[in-house]
Amino acid sequence: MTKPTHMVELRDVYMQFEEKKILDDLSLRVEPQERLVVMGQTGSGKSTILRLILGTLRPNSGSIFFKQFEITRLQRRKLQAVRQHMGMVYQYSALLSSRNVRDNVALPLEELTDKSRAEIDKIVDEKLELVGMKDSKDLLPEELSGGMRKRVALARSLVLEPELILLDEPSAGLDPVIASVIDELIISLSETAKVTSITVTHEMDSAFRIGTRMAMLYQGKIIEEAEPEEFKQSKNPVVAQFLSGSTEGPILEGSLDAITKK
Amino acid sequence: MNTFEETFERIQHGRVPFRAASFFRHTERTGVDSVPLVGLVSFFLGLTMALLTGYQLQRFGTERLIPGLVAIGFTRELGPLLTGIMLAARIGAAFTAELGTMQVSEEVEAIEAMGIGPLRFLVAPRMLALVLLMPCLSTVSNIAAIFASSLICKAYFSIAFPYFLDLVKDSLLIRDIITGILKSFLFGLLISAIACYRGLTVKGGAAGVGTSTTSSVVTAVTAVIGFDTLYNVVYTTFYPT
Repeated sequence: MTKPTHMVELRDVYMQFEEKKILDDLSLRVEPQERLVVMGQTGSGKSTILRLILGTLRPNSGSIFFKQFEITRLQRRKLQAVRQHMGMVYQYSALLSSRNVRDNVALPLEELTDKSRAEIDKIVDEKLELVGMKDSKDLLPEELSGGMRKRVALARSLVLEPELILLDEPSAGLDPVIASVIDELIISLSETAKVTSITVTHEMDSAFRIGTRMAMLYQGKIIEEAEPEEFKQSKNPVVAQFLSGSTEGPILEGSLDAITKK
Repeated sequence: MNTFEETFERIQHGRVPFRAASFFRHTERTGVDSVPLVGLVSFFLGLTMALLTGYQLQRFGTERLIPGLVAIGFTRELGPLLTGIMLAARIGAAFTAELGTMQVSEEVEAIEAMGIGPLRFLVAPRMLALVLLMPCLSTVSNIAAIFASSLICKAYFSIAFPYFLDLVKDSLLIRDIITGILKSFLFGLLISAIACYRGLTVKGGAAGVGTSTTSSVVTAVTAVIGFDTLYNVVYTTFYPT
């Protein structure tokens, strides 16, 4: 089997939790510096894709590559080293609640590098400045709003200068202005620092603002993959219904069938 | 295995396995903050034990056996056992609840996603702190109980402090002290391993944290008493006297 030169590649990934099929022979490629947005219904397995790429979940079958590394076959120690090239922003931020903002952002640097405290402080300040959170360094996560937490989580994911960032619903639950700020930050990162990103969301505005390529996940498969303009014009009935938010179409039909069967 | 590999690689690269600050935070919480509880409970138990045995022994005119009885009873058995039970409730519950909350709020996964080993970063400093501090706390327990019994001996049975000390020294063997310390290490290891394991395997949100914390304390207390019995059975097989 050839090793790919893409930033990320998922090959025929099959995943199920107990009896429920989540991903059904899903294949997906992400090229360097691309900003891929994966859209799909809630519970369709979008976040699972990110966890599979990180290697915190293992698929039932199929292969996942990050650059030349096959995540699905790496030993844990090697996987830990590879993860240092990725940054993940969780939907609910997942900041360490007992550490303040500064310590949260500094954690990967303190634990994984030999940098001095002065160097770490400089990087932390720089990243917090980038997300506009420099004044909140001494606050605990519980003292921050949802948007602020997400920005801190983004800063934390950037301190090790990752090549790939994975964002799980980065703008869900945020006001439109803060959502735009985060979106623009993701765009500027990919343009200035050449960071590749995979964003999982069902927020339309945010998705089309960030994405250089869009993918639609439905019933465990990528049913449509295209550039934003082309994606908007998709003839696929599922995509069309998802984008329009209409109650009529195959998406709800599936759910109604399931409900009726029960 | 992965945690050992990670730790050795860090040592090879001249890095500490975990931050000293993190270790000392746990030793403070586990050890220093537990001293009043362990000391007080052992003090009361020492009083009671001296008083109850004293009245029985007095009937045979052998009150001078009280110091030895309390000293041996605590150094070999009750000191480590009581400390183990108290720490399982106080620290074991705290470790499980803390790690469990981190687990359900995705903090543990986030740590893993950064490329940091959660066992090395979260579990190792906690386990080491508890294992190393258990013998110290057992010693606190022994001293508190022996001191309490000396008060009873003086007040009720007319045994003066210097005589009391002589009686303690005569009856206590180095073997008793070593046995107590070995038990303490074992109990520290058991409690911390059970507490951390229960914490990191929490499922089911807030209710799950509650269930796991209860289960952690119950398992740890049972394990401590069970292993104590097993230890005593093995010990008395080799050293019957």
